[in-house]
Amino acid sequence: MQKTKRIEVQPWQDAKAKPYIHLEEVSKDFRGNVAVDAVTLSIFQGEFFSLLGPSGCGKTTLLRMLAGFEIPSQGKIYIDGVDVTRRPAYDRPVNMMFQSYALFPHMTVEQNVAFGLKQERISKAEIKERTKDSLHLVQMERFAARYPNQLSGGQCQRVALARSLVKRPKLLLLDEPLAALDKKLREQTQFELVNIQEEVGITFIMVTHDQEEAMTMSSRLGVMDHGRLRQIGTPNEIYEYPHSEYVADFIGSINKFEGHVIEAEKDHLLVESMEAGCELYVNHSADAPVGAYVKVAIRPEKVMIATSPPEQKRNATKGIVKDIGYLGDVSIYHVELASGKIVLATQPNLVRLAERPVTWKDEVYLFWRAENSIVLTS
Amino acid sequence: MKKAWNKVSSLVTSPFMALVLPYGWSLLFFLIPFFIVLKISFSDLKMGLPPYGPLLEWVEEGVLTIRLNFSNYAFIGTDSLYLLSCLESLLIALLGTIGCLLIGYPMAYGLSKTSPRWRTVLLMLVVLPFWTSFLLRVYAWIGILSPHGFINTLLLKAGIIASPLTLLDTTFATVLGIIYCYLPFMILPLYASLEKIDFTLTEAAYDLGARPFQVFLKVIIPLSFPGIIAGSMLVLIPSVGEFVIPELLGGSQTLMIGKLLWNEFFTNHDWPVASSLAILMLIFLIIPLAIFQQFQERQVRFLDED
Repeated sequence: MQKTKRIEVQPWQDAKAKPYIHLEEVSKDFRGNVAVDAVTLSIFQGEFFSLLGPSGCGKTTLLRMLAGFEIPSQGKIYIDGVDVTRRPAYDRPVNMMFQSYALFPHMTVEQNVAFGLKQERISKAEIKERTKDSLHLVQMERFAARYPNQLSGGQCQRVALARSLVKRPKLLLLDEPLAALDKKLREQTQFELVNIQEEVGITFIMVTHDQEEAMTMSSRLGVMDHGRLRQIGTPNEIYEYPHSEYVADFIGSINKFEGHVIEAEKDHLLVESMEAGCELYVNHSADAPVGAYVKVAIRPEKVMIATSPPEQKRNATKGIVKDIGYLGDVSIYHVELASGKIVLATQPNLVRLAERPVTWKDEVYLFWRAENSIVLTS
Repeated sequence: MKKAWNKVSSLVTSPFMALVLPYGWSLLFFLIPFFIVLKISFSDLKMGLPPYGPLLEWVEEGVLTIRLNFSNYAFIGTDSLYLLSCLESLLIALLGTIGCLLIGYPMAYGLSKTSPRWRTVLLMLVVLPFWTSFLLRVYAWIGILSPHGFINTLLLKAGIIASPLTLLDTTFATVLGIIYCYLPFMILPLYASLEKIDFTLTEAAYDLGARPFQVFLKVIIPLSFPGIIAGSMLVLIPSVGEFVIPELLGGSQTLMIGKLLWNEFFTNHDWPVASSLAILMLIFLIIPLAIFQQFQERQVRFLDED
């Protein structure tokens, strides 16, 4: 198969770039239950896009509408400029890898992979060739003559991938592709899947509820909640600049301080927080006037711990170490502030456990850099 | 005493008993009667009761002779009537089975696709005819098919035909009767196997570009194959030996083996020939079935393993 390099440019930042997959105000309701609510989304060629959200958030329904198993109640879906909203599943340049893999039990691995090609007018020799190539890609050539029930879960997953790639679709949909694998295999497969995607250059849309999976694999991801897309961005953007409390909470863990805006300028925001016990300085503006109630958030790994007071007065507070979660590579310190608020701070274990400077019941100073805090207005 | 009782109760609930009961039943009600019929088929015709001679005879002190009379079988070979009626039975039963399959498959498919609430009601309706006597239901068809029956009256009144059609006392009527009576036996196993199919498999087939007909042909039919076989066997086997339906609906034209057997037993009182005929028919049915079973087992193995 043809090799393309992973997209280095970021087409979503280029206003002139033409989206490859475009959803326009797509909604779906099932007898009054709104599963997907006016989703507008543009995905570019070669992207690995993830739809992330808890179960029941509408991500699977969105995927099924792209596949053609559900017809949107409203809105339009374009693939490569063509309106496919009402096209049946068998008539779309889209293939799907099912969560259960959905391998045909009455066909061998080879027959499973060749099934899609046999539906087209392709010569027998070419079908054989492409089936072989596809199985080679997922390293399953040796198992061509086996039946699905003679394969392990990981092997079934590879066959399902080969089967959905063999038709060279414009878009590949993956419904929780790694959910059925155990943890170790899942981590290994994550990278394999990304490598294969880079190799074939096909646009992938993956549905997952596993944030770690979405973060490591995607070029961009969309966080969904109650049928709505809450935020779209690169894993880095979503993690570092969540727009809402929902997204901030959903991805990773985060400390939040309530407070009131006392200074709102173009380049910074100053928030007074009783909860934090200090003034919080944020070096970016937010949609919040003076006096507004906001939350300022900071990721635990951005919070530094010291036994002596830091030079900075803002974004600095103190508390007592209540608990230390030892994870091997890092430790999570639970520090209780004077207000009773528990702040999490993650520190790498640079020295061995016995030699570390901070321990239980110590009074410590917590501080962070202004550019690392986030203002959450919703 | 208590120990003995424990032993008995553990034996009753053991898996061994689960095997003994059905096989004991088969032995008692199938194998023993079969050997009795086999025995009669090798005996001589005799006037009196029973109307056949013994196989074993004491000739002199301490010598037991066995007399196997093959002439009954030879006789069946000489008269082509028997072979023809065998073939006709098979043909009628096959037509009936195909008819049941063609009507039953869409019904079973529909059943497997309806919501669970409706399914119970619809399944009830499938077995509802069994609540009326089988004989009565076949008689009802006479009323429908006879020259002055329901269909002919309707067609005459509508002016579609000038004189009544001969519907009753035909092979067609026999096939129709078989389809009608055996349809539930086709639907139930078909439904059972269709209901088990994981419908994401059909979605996967659509997704890979298969049109609805191809999905049906390449995915649904192969996966419901065990049901197709089971249903077909349940219809084919009993309808080959069917007596009531050809007797009531087929008239004198239809020569099915069941009717012939009846004639041999009760009109000609020739039990040995009748028994030979029954044995031949059994062999005739069992051999292709055994071959088919072998083939099917290989086909279905992948579905059962999990």
